[in-house]
Amino acid sequence: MTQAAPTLSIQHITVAFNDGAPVIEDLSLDVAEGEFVAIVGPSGCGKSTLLKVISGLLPARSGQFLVAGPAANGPKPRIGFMFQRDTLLPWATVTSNIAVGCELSGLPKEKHAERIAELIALVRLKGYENHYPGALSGGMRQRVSLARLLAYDPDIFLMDEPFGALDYQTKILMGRELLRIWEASRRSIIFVTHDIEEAVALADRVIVMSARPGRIVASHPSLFERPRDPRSLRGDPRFGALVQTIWSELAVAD
Amino acid sequence: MVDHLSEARPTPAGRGSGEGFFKSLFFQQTLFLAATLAAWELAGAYLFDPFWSSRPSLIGERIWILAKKGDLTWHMSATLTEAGLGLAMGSVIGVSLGLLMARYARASAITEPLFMGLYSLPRVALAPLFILWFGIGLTAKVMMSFSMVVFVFVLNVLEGVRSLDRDPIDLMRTMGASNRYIVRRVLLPAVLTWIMASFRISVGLALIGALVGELIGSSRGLGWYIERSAGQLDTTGVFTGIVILIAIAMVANNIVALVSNRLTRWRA
Repeated sequence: MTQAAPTLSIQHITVAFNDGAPVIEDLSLDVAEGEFVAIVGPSGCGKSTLLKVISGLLPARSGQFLVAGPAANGPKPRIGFMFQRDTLLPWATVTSNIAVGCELSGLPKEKHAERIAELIALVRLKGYENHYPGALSGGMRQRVSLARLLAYDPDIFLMDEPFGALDYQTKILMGRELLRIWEASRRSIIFVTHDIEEAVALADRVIVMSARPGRIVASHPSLFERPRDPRSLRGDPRFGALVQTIWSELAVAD
Repeated sequence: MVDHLSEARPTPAGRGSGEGFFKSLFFQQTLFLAATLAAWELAGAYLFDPFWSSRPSLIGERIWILAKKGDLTWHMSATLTEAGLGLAMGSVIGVSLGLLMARYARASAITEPLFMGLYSLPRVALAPLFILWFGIGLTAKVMMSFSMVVFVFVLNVLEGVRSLDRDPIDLMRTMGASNRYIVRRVLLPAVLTWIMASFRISVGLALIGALVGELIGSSRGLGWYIERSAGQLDTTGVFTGIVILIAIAMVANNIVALVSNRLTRWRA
């Protein structure tokens, strides 16, 4: 898409735990600025591990990352992570949970209230500002997580099955919400999922990983224009065909 | 099936509201207390010799006399100060020690056998030693109280840190959070729940510590008053001390519960 240097360049990464067999082997992947990349693969293929390595939570055995900043010598690019579990602080209200993102982003304190109010409106949680996470549904909790992530204003979003714990309806709805929000800011996203339809519906590019050790076996550019509504895509014959192709690739990869 | 279920769930109409005062928990608790006192009074009048079990009316009269003479505040303030200082010291030192032990896992593993030994030791055994060291004044009782409660705080804080949810911490780490930030935003609020639970348990223990100290050697306090009354075969005096202690414990428990509910409102 863009000719500019990729936002994130993963080069020949190998990851292993305790000198055991590699979980990820010689994996390379470039993510362009503003690109939405989905990674699908069988469970245990190391797709979640890959995100943890990119975020710095786990070390890689070999290979390297290049993360392009907004400018050379500029501030370090920010990586925002979203887990399948909401990971909200149970003792903090919706507002206070979102504030974590503001506080860690280095935004001046006097601008927090305004930014949080904006985000609460964006993720459609008006009226729930002072609720505790325990009083919210799973979908609402993930909206709070998403708002916290946006408050941190990352350059790259790493999303590890963020809607995987939600029921089917909510999951579709959250996917639409994510696209709506993403289309406004266009940051790079790496979105890990085991749901092929979700990957095809949301992403610009779907990466298929093999079972352990994780390698990339296929990469499919999206056939669909933006902006798009993931709901209407599901009726498109090309959608079904692509899902079918990825299914068969996963079967082979197994 | 579904219909049956929805019908079987009665709506608790008026529970806790003005119309349901007689069904309110507070009313029923008060009623139960009054009934117990009445049964006691009647038993003292018709069943047993009040020499053995006294009677609420006699105890009430005694409390009135003690209050008028100023003895009530004299003894109560002593016991409250001892238990209060012991609890304050125990909580501050216990929480700090618990955090330190959580931070330095190796050191806490090394000290654990001795620590658990001390924890399992009936602290009453320390009372003669404390009297010997600190005399029969305030300090010995504070130390008794302290020794009763400090372990509760240490062990609870330790457990609180050990049961911390790692995921929010990992998430904040990826966002470049400093240790200090994580301590302030995650560790302390998480441990606060455990500290409040420790306070709930410790109120009674702090009183036990103060009382044991007073029973063994003192010149004032509710424990001293009970001990002296028993020496004079004054059952009413003994029961008076006990009733005041029960009242203190009830009030203190309520205060702790109130503060605890305030601070951990998110659990509701």
